[in-house]
Amino acid sequence: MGSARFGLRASLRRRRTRLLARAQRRIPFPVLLAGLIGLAFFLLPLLSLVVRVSWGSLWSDLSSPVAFQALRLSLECSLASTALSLILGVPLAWILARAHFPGRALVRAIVLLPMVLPPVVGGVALLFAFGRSNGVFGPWLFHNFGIQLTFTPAAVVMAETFVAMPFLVITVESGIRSLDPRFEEVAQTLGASPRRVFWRVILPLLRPTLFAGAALAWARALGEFGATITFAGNITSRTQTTPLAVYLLLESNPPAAIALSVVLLAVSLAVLVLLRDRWFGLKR
Amino acid sequence: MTLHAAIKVEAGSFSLEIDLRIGDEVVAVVGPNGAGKTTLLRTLAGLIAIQSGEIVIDDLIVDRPDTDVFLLPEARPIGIAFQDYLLFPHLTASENIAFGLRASGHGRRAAKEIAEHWLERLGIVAQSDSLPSALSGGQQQRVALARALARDPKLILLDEPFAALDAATRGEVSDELSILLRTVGTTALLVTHELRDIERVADRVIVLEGGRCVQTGSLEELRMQPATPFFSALQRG
Repeated sequence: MGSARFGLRASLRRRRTRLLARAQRRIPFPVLLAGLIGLAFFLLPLLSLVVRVSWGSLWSDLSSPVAFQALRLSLECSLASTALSLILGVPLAWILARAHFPGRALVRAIVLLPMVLPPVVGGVALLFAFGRSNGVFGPWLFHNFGIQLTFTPAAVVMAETFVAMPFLVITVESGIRSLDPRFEEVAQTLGASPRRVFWRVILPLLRPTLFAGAALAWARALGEFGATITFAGNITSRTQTTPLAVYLLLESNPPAAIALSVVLLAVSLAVLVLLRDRWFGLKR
Repeated sequence: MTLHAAIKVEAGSFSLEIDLRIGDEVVAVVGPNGAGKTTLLRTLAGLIAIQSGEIVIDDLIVDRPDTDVFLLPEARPIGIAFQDYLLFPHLTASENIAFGLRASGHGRRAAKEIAEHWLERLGIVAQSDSLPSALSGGQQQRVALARALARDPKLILLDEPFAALDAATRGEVSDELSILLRTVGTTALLVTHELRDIERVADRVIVLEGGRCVQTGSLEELRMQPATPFFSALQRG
C-alpha cells in the first residue's frame, strides 16, 4: 500500500519533470518563423542551383576544355596554397599562441585582416607590392631575378594564400592554446629534447587541428575570386581558376557554369561534413 | 641515492622554503591545499627554477643559482607521475612506456621489449596495444607509473597518483606501487591526501604548510605528536 503510493508519487514527479523540460525546450513562434525564413534564404538558392543542373550533359560540360582546365588549375593552385599556408601559417600560429612580445595583438590583427578585408583589396595590395611595373618590390624582383609574378599561376597561389591562410592560422592558434602544457612537461621529464617533444608529442596532438585548419584554408582558396582576378588576371589555363571560369561561362555557356558551381558546392559540403565533429561539437 | 634540496622558490606572494634530505626511502608529502606540495615536485623536476639554494642528487648538482647551474627536466634523473596520468593520447600503452626509453637513446626494439616487460610486471600486458582512451583509470595509472619508472630514474615524483581512482582500484594500485618501489629500489616523493596511501607506501612523512616544512617523521611519530592541527585532522579523515 505504502509502496504503491510512493510509486504513484514518483510517476507524478517524473511527469512534471517531463512537462517542465518540454516547456523549457519550446521555441516561441516568431523566433521559429524568422529562423525558418533564415534557413530558406540559404537553402532556396542552393537548391535552385541543383535544380538547374542538366545532369545529362554534366560530364561533357565539366570536361569541356575551359571547364576542365579551370578545375585542374584550381585543384593545383589551391593545394599549393594550402601547403604554403601550412608552412608559413603554423609557425605564425605558434608565435601568436606561445610568444609574449609587445605588439602581439597588432600582429594578430594584421594576420587575420584578410578574413574581413574585401578580397579585391587584397588583390590590389598584392598588385602594388609585386606588380612588375607599378609594384614596390615587383620591379626589383624582375630586374634582379627575372621573376614576374603577376598573371602567372604563382600569382594565383599567392592570392589564394593571402585570403586563405588566416583561416589556418586562427584554427591552429586556438589548437595550440588548448594543448595541455603538461603533456610537454611530462615528455621533458621523460628525457625528450625540445625537438623530440615537438615532433613526437605536440605535432601528433595538433593533428586534428592542423587537418581542420588546412581543410578550411583549402576550401577558402578553392573559392577565391576577387584577389585572384585582380592580381593574377583571368587567363585561360594559366590563371583562370574555377570561380573565374564560372563567372565567365555564365555569359557564354550557362550549363557549364552551373556544372562548375555544383562541383564547388559539393566540395564545400564535403569539407563541412569532414569538419562537422569540430564545428558542431559532436564526438565520433 | 640521496637528494638534498635546500631551496627557495617565490611565485607572486607565495614562497616555498624548504631544506630536504632524502635517502633510499619513500617519503609522503602532505599538507593543505596551497601548501606548496605540487610546487615542490615541479621544482625538483626542473619545471620551476629555484631563486636560491641548491638541489643535488647524489653528486649531481641539478639547480644552483649562485653557480649558475640549471639542468633542464630532460637532463635530470627524475620521473614524474600525475593524478590525471597524462598518457600521450596518440600512443599505445606500450609506446607510452617506450617514449622515455627512446628519448634516452634506446633503439626501437629494445625500448619495446622493456616496455612489454613493464606491462607484464604490472599485469596489463593484454593492453599493450590499446590507446589510453581504451584503458580503465587503474590501467592508465599503471602505464603512467611504468612510463616514469622505465627510464630507471633515481627519484620518482608522484603527484596524488591515486586521487582519481575508486577506492578498490586505489588500494590495488598503491599496493602494487609499494611493492614496485621496494623491488626497484627507487626513491620516491609521494604527494597525497590519504592516510591509507601513507600507511601502504610511505616510510616517512613530511608535513608542508604555507611553503614550509612544519614536521617530518614516521607515521607513528606524527600520530603520537602531530605538530599542527592539519595532521590531526588528516587522521580523523
